[in-house]
Amino acid sequence: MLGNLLRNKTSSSGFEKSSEHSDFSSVVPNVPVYCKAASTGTTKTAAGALLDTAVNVEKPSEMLSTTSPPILDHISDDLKLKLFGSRDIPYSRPIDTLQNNGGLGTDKITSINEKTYAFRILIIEEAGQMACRNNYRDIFDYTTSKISNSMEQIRPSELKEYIFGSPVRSSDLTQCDKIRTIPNSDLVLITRIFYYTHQYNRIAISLCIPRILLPVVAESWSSISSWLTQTQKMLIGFLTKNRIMQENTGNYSNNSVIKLSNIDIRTHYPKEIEIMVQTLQKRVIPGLRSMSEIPRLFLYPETFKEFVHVWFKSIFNWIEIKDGPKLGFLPLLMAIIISDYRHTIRELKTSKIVILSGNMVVANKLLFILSALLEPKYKGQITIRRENIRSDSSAVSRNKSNNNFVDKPETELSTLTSTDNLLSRTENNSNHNYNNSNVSSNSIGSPNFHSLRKGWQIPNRRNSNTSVSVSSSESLAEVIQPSSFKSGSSSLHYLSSSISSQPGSYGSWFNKRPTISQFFQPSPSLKHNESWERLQTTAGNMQRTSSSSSLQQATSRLSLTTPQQSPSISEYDEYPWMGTPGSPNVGDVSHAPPLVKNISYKFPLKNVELKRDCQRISQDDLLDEAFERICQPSLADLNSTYEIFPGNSSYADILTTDSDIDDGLMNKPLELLPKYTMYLTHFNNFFQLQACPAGQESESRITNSMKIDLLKADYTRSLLVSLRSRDIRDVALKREFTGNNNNNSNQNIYDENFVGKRKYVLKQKTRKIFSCGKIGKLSTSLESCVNFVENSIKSAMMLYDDNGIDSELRDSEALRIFSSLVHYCNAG
Amino acid sequence: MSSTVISLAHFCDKHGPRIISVTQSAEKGTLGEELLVPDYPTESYCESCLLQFPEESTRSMRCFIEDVPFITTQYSSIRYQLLNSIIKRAFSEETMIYDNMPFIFFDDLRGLNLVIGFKLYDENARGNERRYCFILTVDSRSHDDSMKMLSEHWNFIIGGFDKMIAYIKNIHKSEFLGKNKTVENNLETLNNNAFIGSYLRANKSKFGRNLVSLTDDKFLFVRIHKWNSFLLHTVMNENKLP
Repeated sequence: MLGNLLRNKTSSSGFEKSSEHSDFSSVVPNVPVYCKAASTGTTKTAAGALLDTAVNVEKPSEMLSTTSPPILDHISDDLKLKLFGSRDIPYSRPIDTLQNNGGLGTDKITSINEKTYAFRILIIEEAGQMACRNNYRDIFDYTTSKISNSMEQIRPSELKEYIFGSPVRSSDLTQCDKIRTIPNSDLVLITRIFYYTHQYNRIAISLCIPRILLPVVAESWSSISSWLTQTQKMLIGFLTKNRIMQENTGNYSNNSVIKLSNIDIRTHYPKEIEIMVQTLQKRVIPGLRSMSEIPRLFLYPETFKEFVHVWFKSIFNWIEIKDGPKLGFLPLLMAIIISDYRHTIRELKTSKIVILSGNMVVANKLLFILSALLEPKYKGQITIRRENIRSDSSAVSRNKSNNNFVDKPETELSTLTSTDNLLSRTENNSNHNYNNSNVSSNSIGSPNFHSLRKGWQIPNRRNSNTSVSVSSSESLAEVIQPSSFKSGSSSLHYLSSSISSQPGSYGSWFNKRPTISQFFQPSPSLKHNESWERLQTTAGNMQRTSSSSSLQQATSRLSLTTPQQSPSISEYDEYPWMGTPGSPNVGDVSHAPPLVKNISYKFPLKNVELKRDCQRISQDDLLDEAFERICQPSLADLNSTYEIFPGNSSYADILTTDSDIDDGLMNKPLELLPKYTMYLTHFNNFFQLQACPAGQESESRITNSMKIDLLKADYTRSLLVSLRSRDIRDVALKREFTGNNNNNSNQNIYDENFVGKRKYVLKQKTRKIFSCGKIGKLSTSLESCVNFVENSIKSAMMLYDDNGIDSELRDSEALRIFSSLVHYCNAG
Repeated sequence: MSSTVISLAHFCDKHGPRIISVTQSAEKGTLGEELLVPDYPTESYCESCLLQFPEESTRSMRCFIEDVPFITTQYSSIRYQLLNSIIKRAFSEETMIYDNMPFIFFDDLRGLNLVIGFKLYDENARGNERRYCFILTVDSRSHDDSMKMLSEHWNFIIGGFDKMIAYIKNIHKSEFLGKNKTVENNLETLNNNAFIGSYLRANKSKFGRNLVSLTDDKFLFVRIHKWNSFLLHTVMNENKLP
């Protein structure tokens, strides 16, 4: 009876729309998770859900509605492609199938808000009374925010099930760590369980964090486990004190169990508890967040010619506009990195390269140039959208013989460790993956593409390399606060350069992205050029006086009172990028005659399509391809893929399968991106390559972070590059122990509060390599490296300057020069 | 011999947590003979616990990737206890959720384990479902190193497991639908059986069913073996790099 009723009910809801061919999932709609079939009515649903998950898997994943970090809003698409290899960098890109299985990828998780900072600490003790309802006792329960918070809504009793599991268990007394998700809650539970003297006295330290942080938990395990260890030590300390107290008062016998629940830790040890919470709040959680939210740079494969072209052009532009022909700043910086810091960064995990600049755009451009010199580079294939097909796949191979076109002794000084490999690899690599059927909907293939990140968003034109460095809208201003704003003169300078928006004038903000207020200007449907003009002229509250601003600009550039030490150094938001439609021709700029004249500059990276999130490259395509090839799901009969290997006395027959996995699948390219990032508003200790605002604050942050690093190591180095004053400093910090007091077996950063410090002195050595526009004293090896870099750049310039040269030959030569830079070897 | 192992385990109606298959690797250049198992009587395994080979006589599956032998067997003769304590832990001692989400635990005895559980609808099973999990075990005491490996391959490992789980679920679904011709018919059966099944029908009507029959794929374990070998190889390969 009931069954019939239920059946009727479901059939009216489900079968109406289901045809014979309909998906099973449509029959049982909206079953979010499987729920245990407790009643008869839900059993059907349960079965439906079980099958449902399988059905969902078949659907191609089109859900890329994840949000990007706000800092990326200020970066043009071109620069995004240069730095990150993708226009679309969500916080975390869910694994395709999991997403559909009701796993990681709901919108809820991928939108970042204040909740992401939330965490909950639970310390629970098992009382050792299995039959008792109060077997588990809350010792400490702390949640960050008291506003309606899913984290708090979960009762500890439910969490206990996940923290402790079954009360019946094997009796090994090993300490255990667990990481798991809590169903229906978007939470991750990290638990450490340990014992204090007694088998039934399990104590659990649990930490609840938002699920979006799950992919970085493993990476930041050292800091999480340090915190757990610290807390564990603290609790053991409490227990031991308690035991000693009991022993002293004579209450203690060998059988009595010392329990945390007998100690009111909040009232007895407020200071320790505070430190525990603070450590989490100030160190661990921000660390997790910076790992998950700050987009990491993507290092293009060195054999990817489109990238190499863009890279060389970036260098030429930098030298032309930022450095000038005589300064020699960039070659020196590059030489330091390839001769020294490239290895240091790899070997010494605390070493850093930091660019100090008030200007995000310029700093990011320099980061792009420098990051290409670092390792580890991506070795996989770069997917390119189809529209870009050119007959270039066989280009490199035909030019093998003409390899020595630019026959310059300087370039031959280089140790070309992989020239041969390079060429063959280039061949492979240039067969780019054109058959990408899953071009995502947000990649629009017109040459003047617009970025349509959201359906409702009015498209903005992004066909140039310019971007906003100073924003006029409030929410954006939160993100970018160049420290130079604080000083009056430089803010004047900024203002002037941002105000003059006369297209074509040097230093103007000619392709400023419209701000939110501008979006709401009338007639967004006008043709782009026109609407652009209109938006510019009607925009905002600023009184635009281009003539006076250019005057200001001139004075600020020449005035002796400006903080800039050299007139050529003034950091404009943007420099003209040659040949880009919408930007002025390089030839128009009279100050600096173009060094490289005739490059028909199209931005070759514009069709790159890399699936990634802030910290990882998506593995979905690789897995899909591998699964097809290895498991051959379409093949009903695998008889031909194996043979029987006869057994012997010690083993039975063996079924031997073939393993025809090709090289592409065999060597999975890097998944986790290195710790290099873009311009950040604050220095972040986690990243080895970054840029941040110039100023005292950043410098003291850097020094502090180096000191913190020294708690774990004895030596650390940082290369500080200040763009405003054009100086390069190599700061080394070393600690030397003066005496060996105290037990210091565990030199843990967090243990300083608990374990006595060992005495040591910090010794700092700062080497000014480049200062006030002058090159300091260089070692001979560095000097030869500088020469090498300069010569390489020169030969590259000639290469690009030469009109007559075959484009294929140019490709291979550019690749060769780049490779020689990247593989420069000091000994050679 | 590498310390990384992938196993497929399930919770048997009769026997509790059981290993169905273990994929391990041996030293490069060897034949991995220490991992091969002798001819054991398959009758000692119940239907649902059995690793069913497409060829009756075989007891191990092997492939070589870059000269490293990868071997899949019903049980691991060298890690028997370890794996048993791991699956006991996963299925019985912890609160296992079969939601395709990773569950990670580690201690000094069991090393690092990443477990992803899933279940298949089967009216012949207790509670009308069969519960399985894939486990990646890093048999090492260095938690930091294991975590580093996990962090470097997070998407790959989880996506890789998920790929196989999705495949199994998919073919299970088509097997299920195929048997019950149309959707309506099938739902009808489902509903009836479910209704009677969990309420009136005695447990005797429940019987073991193998993954091979649940998916109607005679070569399922061959595919699992090949896939696990590929996953293991990739995970280990990267780790060897300087």
